[in-house]
Amino acid sequence: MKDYLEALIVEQINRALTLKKLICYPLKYSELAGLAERCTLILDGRIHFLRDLQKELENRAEDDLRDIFRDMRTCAREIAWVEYYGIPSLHYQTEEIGFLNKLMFKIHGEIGLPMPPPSVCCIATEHYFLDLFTNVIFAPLSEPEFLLHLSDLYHEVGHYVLENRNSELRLKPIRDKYDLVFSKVTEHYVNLLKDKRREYGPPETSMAIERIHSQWKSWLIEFFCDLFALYTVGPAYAWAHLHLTAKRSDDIHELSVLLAHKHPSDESRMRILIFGLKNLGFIEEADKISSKWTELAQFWGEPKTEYQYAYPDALLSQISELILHGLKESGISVVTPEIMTHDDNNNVGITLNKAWQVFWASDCQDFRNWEENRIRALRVALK
Amino acid sequence: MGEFGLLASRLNDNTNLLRKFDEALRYFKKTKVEENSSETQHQAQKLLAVLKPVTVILDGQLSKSVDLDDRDIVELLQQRRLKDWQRYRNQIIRLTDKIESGNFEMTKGDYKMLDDVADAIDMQCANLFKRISGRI
Repeated sequence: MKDYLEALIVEQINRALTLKKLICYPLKYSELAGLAERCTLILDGRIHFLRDLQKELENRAEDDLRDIFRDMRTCAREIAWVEYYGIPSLHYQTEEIGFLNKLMFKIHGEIGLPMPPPSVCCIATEHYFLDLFTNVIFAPLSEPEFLLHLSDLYHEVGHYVLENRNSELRLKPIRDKYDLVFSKVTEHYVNLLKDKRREYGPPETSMAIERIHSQWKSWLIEFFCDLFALYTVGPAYAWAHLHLTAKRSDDIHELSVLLAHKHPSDESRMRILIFGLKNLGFIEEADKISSKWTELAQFWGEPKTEYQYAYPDALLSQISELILHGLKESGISVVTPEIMTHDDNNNVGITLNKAWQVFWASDCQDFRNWEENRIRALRVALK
Repeated sequence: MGEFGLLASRLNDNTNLLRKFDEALRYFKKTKVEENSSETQHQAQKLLAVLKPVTVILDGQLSKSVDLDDRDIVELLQQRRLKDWQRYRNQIIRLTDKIESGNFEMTKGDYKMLDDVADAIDMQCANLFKRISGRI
């Protein structure tokens, strides 16, 4: 086993060295420099660690290899991760990648993010997602040609903020509020469990509640990112959620007690966004979106019984308030109805909200013409 | 709506905890431990960051840990020790109490148990990575 383990380690070192060679220098877009540096740092770090592991292996007995085996597997996962989600942007460097990265730099400035911006790459095979290890947001190929879902970039920035809350001092208020929120969630379910156990109900109910509580670890991440997007870009994000649900959702009350790491249901996400809009003072928009959502929700069925335990209103409302305080105390620029009245065509946030106003007020083709013109103007402004 | 970000986030958190847990495990295996040194206390905290939430779940309560998938870790441990689960469960609780009380005289059995816990986190990471990498 020792010999084989050594072969695995050497193979991974060679893989990392090869990946470094696939980064095309000089970089076409200076906005990609941060990503190039991060990938290189990760790869160099893993090469160094694997070489140390190789030395450590020499002194180990055959029956004392479990931690080295785990370390090798962790490194292999991380190197593959950089290969899948870091190197492609640096290898291809297309015009669309250039545009989205400039756009991200602009958003970064507008929302006052206290750390370097993440990179963006448009080769995703699904909707937007962020790879937290390389800090690259992936968007579908044609996204730079449309405005209605660009606010999803802000949701992904939320993931990036959350992930860095422990290492970035200026995000401490966010970290504190996030921990407080999870304590509140746990408190709620501890009390609920006590009540249910006192009622001598079926054991399945307690089990469902325990599992629902455990799922909140994943749900809270998504709720935070939804609220981050809403609070930094405004109603455009809530409209984008409605729009995506209309196109993609198979069940707005989705709840799997058994399968972990699922998103919270689309219905609960909309409910927390409405609380968030009201916290910001967007009362009229909250009513409009709520009303449209109620119409849309009729296309799906009723929730299952356990749903009553999953997303209580009181908890969602409390979370929406605490996260808003956390963002404000961390110095993140939070939108207000007043800011949205400014007529600044170069402001990305204002443009994305304007897009939704034009979308609802215009004929479909007129909207598309307006959208194409705005994107052209944005590209020129960002050159 | 894609689940990638969520899975990547959980994988990142679990990987960081695993790395720290293994660092601590190696420290206690190699070093003649001075119980009161700040380094020993620091390394013990890395073990407890995993063991405490796991123990809370083993006690039938709800854990407040946001980073670790403690319930999944317990299920993985249980799957591997179905035959003697109750005894094994009690041993994990006792080991956690022992480390928490500052007693770092580990037996071979203790190290084996700590390796089991680390293996379970590694399996959880592998499972999350599989779900991520099947997507692109």
